[in-house]
Amino acid sequence: MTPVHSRAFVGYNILLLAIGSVVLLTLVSAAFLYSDRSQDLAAEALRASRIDRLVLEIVSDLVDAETSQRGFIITEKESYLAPYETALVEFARDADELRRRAAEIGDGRVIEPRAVEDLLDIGARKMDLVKQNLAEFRAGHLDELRLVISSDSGKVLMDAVRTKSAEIRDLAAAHRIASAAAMRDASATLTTLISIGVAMIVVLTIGAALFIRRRLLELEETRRDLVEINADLEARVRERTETVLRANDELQRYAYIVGHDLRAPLVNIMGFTSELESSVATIRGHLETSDTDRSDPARRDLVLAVEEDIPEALGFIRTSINRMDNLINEILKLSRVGRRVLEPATVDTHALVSECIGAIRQRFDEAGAEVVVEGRLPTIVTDRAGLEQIFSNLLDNAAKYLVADRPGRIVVRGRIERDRAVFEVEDNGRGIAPADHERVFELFRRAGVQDRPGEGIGLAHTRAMARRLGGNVTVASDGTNGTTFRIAVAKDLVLRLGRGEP
Amino acid sequence: MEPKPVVIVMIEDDEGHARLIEKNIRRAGVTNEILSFRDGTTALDHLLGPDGSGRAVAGRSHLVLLDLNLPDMTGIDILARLKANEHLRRAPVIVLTTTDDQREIQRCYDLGANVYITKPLNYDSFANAIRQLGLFLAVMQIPEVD
Repeated sequence: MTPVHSRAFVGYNILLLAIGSVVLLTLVSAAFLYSDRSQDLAAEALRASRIDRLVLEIVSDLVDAETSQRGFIITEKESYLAPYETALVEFARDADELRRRAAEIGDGRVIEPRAVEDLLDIGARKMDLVKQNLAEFRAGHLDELRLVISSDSGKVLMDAVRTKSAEIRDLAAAHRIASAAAMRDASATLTTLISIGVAMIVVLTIGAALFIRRRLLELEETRRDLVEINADLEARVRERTETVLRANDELQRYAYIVGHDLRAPLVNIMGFTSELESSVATIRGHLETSDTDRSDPARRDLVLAVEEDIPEALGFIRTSINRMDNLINEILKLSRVGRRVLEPATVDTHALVSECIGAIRQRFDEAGAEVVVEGRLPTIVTDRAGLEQIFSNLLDNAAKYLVADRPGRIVVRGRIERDRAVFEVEDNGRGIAPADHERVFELFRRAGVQDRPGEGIGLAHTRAMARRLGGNVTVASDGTNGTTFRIAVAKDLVLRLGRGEP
Repeated sequence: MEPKPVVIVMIEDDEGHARLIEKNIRRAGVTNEILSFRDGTTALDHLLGPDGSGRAVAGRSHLVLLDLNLPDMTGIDILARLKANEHLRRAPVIVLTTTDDQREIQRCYDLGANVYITKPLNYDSFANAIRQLGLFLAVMQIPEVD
């Protein structure tokens, strides 16, 4: 399956939609058009019927008038003239209407006005004849009347009326039939159009559905690929994390074993150094009590060796042992810190920092330094002892490296930044040269003039702990005007441990 | 009947440590016999006998000075073996080691160690501890095992 580019996909869909819309619009327009046309045609057919009816009524009016006249003449009763009077009125009205209707139908082209006028003219003449006959009868001119009637002129007129009316009626019927036929054609066309439209819409819908289905399948495939890639990535991250944790673990164990095993020979060195010291003391005692002849050079050398050289050598050995013991102890301590199980709890860092400051308050007071906590430090979830160690170390350092020529000032501040709590411990002490900024965090490394006590352990511990707490410690200093340590720890250690990060 | 004198069994792989411990015990005035073993296997062979039942030394009182860091097995293993043996389980065991790991100390006490002494680098305190141990040995009544 060739992948459909998403822009092409949108394009195709819009095209399908546009075609569909055009087809629908066309269909609706055609439907309106043809339904209008059907209405017009229906109206025409109706008009044709009306004309047919009108023509019949006109003929019937004339017949009524003649019949009425005949009845009156035979019976001489005035009541027989009532239909005549009615027919006279009706004829005039029907004639007007026929003229109007005939002009309307087929825009006046179907029935020529002439034909209508001919019919009405003959009709009028017939009416006039009836009127004239009645006048003759009333006047008593029965002979003239008989003459007129026998002349058949009335029958001739009536026949002409019938002929003319039949012509008009034929025209109207033809028009009605033509209209009906056209109506049937229009509706057939409409049906065809609708069928074509429906077919097109079905085709377009199926096309669009197929297209969307293909697109969805592609999306599903892509999604599955993504899931796989994600899983792969997670596995790799987990693998790396495990490797790092294992390496860290090995390092801790290594530090522990080294520290442990280094102590064993040291115990011997120290023990036997003490044995040597007590032996030397025995010799010295013996030399002092025995006869001492300082003039003998060999004896003088012996005394010098026992009283000065050997104690000096033993002194250096002892100092070195103590130093080495301290270093080993620190390594052991560091490995123990690394192995300590963290205990996350809600910690009010403001109270914690205040306690740390209180613990070494005396040293600040002695140095005449002030310690300020700026604002309110946040409350976070972390390992209390670890954070305490970090602040104690940094505050201790700040107190240790103040300079005499300016009053000490130490500022602690802190805030939450996204998922971390960030603190700063700022002092105006002697500072750390930029070249030493990373070195100070290494084990047994110290910066600047080595005039203060210390093993170069504190900051290594601090950084190790900050990293375990999900952050880091960095330093900023120009090397003369003080130092700012920036501590970041996870805002919620539980969350972080939960993610399996070391 | 006068009880038989207590035999001090020292299990310590570091010769120097063994020598220093012995010297200081002697300085404290303890004159009991000290049997020194360099590894766990020979020490257990001696204490439990060739059949491993401990009957061989039945009737004799022992005090065990035990280093935890041995080449062939850990002191913890030896401690567990001793405390599991009916003839030796009442013998006091003094653990002497360089580590001050709290968990290890706790483990030794759980297994029945009587005293735990960290070998300090400060020789004076070490010597002092050993001497006190000597005094402790001198006054201690070790129940005789029948």
